[in-house]
Amino acid sequence: MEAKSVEMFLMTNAKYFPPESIMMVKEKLQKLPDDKAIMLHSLQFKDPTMLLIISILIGGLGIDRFVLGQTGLGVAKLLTCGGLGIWTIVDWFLIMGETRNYNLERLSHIS
Amino acid sequence: MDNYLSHQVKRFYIIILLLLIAGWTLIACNKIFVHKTHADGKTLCLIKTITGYPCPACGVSRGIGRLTRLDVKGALWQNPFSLIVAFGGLIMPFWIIYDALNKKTSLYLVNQKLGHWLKKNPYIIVLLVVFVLVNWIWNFTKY
Repeated sequence: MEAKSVEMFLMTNAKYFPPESIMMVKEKLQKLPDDKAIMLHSLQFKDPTMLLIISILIGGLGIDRFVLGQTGLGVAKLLTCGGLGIWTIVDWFLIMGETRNYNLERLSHIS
Repeated sequence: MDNYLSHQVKRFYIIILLLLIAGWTLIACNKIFVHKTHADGKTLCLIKTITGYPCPACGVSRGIGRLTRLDVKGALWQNPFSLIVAFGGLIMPFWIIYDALNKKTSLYLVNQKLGHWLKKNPYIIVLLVVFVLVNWIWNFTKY
């Protein structure tokens, strides 16, 4: 990918990735062949803020974990009624980081 | 990518382990410090204390208290999920120890397989959500 395109991509999408991985993402994107770069634009990243809202409103039912594709953990959270309420509260602080890791994982699938 | 996967597996085990410790600590503290005075409305539950309303898990620690006295019917009345939580809470520590000793990731793999199976059968998740919501409504009438 061209350096300019990478810069543009990072300017609009940096909030979706863990801050410590931005340099790694930049290096990976620069090495990305042009045919795969098209796939990059079709990727839909999850918004960490949106996940935080979901977690606060319906996190007790494990919906936040389901949205991130962690179905097993989602069912565990649902059946323990949000881990007796503890997991629900803990996830309010963890879910944004989890979302950024999820986005990084999706990106690593194409590169 | 391998590094990332092992990071994910570690993260999964740490989450489960911390939740087990937090859950059993909460249940033990509830039993030791609050259980006898629960009739006064005192509780360690943050959600009940802050909002004043019961969450879907309301009654689980009391249900587990009933289970320790082999009162299954009482546990079901307090909260049917107390059976699931007690079963999971008892099985998981041994499963994690087994995995740690044998350097396996069987719990993580079962979690992954369960996840894939549920993605193919999403109606089961909908049924579970309905079950939790109905139980929550019942909690409102009880507590």
